[in-house]
Amino acid sequence: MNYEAGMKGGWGAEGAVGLGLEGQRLASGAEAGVPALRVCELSYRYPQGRVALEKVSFSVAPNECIGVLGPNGAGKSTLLLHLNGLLPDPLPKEPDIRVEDKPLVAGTVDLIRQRVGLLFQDPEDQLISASVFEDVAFGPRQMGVSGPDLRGLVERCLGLVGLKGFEGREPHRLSHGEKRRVCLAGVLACGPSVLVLDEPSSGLDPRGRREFKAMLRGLPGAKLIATHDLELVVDLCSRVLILDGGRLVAEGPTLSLLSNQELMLAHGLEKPHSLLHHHPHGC
Amino acid sequence: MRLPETESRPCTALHRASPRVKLVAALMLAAFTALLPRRLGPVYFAPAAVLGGLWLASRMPLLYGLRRLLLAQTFILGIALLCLFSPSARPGFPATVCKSNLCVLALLVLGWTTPFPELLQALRRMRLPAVMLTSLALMYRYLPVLAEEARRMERARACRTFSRKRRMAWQNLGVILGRLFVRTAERAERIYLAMCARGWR
Amino acid sequence: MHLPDGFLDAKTALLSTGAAAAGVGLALRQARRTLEPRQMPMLGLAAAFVFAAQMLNFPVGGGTSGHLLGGVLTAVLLGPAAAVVVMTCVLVVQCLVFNDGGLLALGANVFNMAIVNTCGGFLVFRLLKRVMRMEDNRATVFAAAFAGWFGTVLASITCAGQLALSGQSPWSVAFPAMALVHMVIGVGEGLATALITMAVLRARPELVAGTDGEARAPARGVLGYGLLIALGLVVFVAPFACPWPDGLEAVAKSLGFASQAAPPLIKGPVSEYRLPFISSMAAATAAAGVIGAILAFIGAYGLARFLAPGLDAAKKDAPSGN
Repeated sequence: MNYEAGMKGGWGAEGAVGLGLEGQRLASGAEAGVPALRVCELSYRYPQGRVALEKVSFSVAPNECIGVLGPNGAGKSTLLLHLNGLLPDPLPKEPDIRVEDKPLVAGTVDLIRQRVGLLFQDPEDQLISASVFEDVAFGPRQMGVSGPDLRGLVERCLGLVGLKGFEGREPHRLSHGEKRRVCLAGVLACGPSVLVLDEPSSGLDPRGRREFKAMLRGLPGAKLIATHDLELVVDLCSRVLILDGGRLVAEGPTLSLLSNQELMLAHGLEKPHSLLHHHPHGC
Repeated sequence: MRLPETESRPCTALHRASPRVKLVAALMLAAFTALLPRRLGPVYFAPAAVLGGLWLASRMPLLYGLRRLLLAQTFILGIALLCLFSPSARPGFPATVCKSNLCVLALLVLGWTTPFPELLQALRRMRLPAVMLTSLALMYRYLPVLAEEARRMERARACRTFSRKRRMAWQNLGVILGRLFVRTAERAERIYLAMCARGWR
Repeated sequence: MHLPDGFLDAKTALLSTGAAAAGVGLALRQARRTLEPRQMPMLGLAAAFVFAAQMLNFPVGGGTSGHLLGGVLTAVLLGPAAAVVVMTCVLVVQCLVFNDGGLLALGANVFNMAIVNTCGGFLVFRLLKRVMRMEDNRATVFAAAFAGWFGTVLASITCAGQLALSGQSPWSVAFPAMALVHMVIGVGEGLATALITMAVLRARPELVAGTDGEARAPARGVLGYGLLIALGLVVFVAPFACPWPDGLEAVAKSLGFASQAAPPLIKGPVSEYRLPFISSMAAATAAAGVIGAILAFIGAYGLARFLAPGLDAAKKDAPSGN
């Protein structure tokens, strides 16, 4: 399935899949030097008092793909929830996060949520409507799209994820991989410039993983992938962040970090199979 | 929990008709039938014929319809039997059972030709409050999910239960349902976040 | 207790639907005011939970099994306003998708099971919690157990009243049949309610919202449900249960029912039956109800002591200052 083909003039800088939201869009990240996402000394404490994140700082360039690794409980999911303003509640007056150089505060959160698309770990939680069409249409509807524009948009997004013709299907009869792709279509339908994915390949069988990987590779824009799937990171990500205990303990190019056996083992990870035997996958 | 399978249903004119029209028609049919006199008479043929015709037009399988009607008898007869105990109400028994069954049939045809999400659209146009509509939609969507979770938890418990005592069964069910409630509340929280992530207010 | 169509006459159906609409409207308004946006999805999810819970078999013995109704449980866990909305959703889906309960009878079913059962039970729950001198968890379990029984029985009584008012079945038959059966069913309901509440209290006590006091159920709101239930009892039950036939003639005339063709029923069972054992069935049932309530009270107390014994002991053992 060739996902790249649908990409020409698809979504991204020039119109968010034809949504025509120019009037409301933030400055396009294609402007030179402006990072798609910048996080400065982000800290977060759970209501019970436990530290979840401690002074995490990094930035993501407009078309970069970054992997976020770390043991369970390191704070990966919590970090992801901050990137579109779901946490903290309420948002701070002094923003720690800037999306395309706009600060993430209460006044801009609605716009930023459209620019930062978050794919949740369990597709069951994100697929809330009675039919695939309704679910993919959920985001655009909130933004005021309706009628034939909406139908065309949903069709395009379903085509992007390889689920053409699935509009009338019922969510609980889909396979796990199909559910996840519907969720991705729903996120893409909002026209984001930054895709944030929480464990996108978990629960997929090997073919599902391969197809999902190919699909992700074909999507333009910045991507941040939190995952345990080290092979996915080797294949897709140019840079890697390692979180442990809420702190950013390492940051750097994928191959050099992941080849560092000591570093990986120290933070509950391991050297991926493809690097162990010196044959990067070509998939 | 098997939600009715709607994807493989035939597409008749009735299926394509407006859900609002169908809902109102079902209501009017049921009202007409319920208001019939409490004695069986030729007037009962009218709704029976209409419903029979609708059954045919909707191409509802005979066995499916009969099975659902049979299931409905437990409730209908259960309450109808109460009027057998009174000399003044006894003659009304056959008429009441007939009326009930005709009304169930009306609902059956409605359910067969109109998937629940379409009924919700009809209710939305009839100005049902938004909170009710969202709740009904979410309930319908997550029924099979929660039912599956409950079944899985029951199975897991069964693997570790070695006594057939009723007391254990009740206590286990209590724990399972308690845990299911907690997981449901946590899932509701995640659903809220996912809805907000796509712009819901 | 789901009434199918064809049993209620027009006036009863309209009255019950009106009462149901009022109750649900009240609950929706209260829910909008007291629930935060992040709790809104829980309404739908809780409805799915109640439905899933109703599917599980509680073994009763002799090969039969019972099922949870869940109204009082939902009120204890989510508060009365949310519970009314949740139970209404359950009843609507049961009617439209599973044909369990009639379409025209939906109003009556909602009134009985989503308002009388849920809020009547909740009122008793709150009252008991306030009145009993018990430590918190045990009081909650005890109150939930008794309220579960009480709510079931109360709903069955209004249901019987609706059948009687419709002329479908005389009060002297409907009331004993419904009330006695549900006094037994209510035991299972109360037991299940207590067990599940205890399990949630152990795992995540903050999820039991019904104990939140003023936050979830402001006194004014709870009063509203109480009034509605009282009205329901006046309309559906009082004409039959009232021991003063002349008084009820007057009530019936003023409410416009005396002119209806159907009832010699409104005159009371005495005029219809000469057989002493039947005419006193209603009185016997009422007496059984009082005894049943006392037994349920004692049973609930014992159950609470059994399920929540440890907290006092734990408090004694735990080192002070943590």
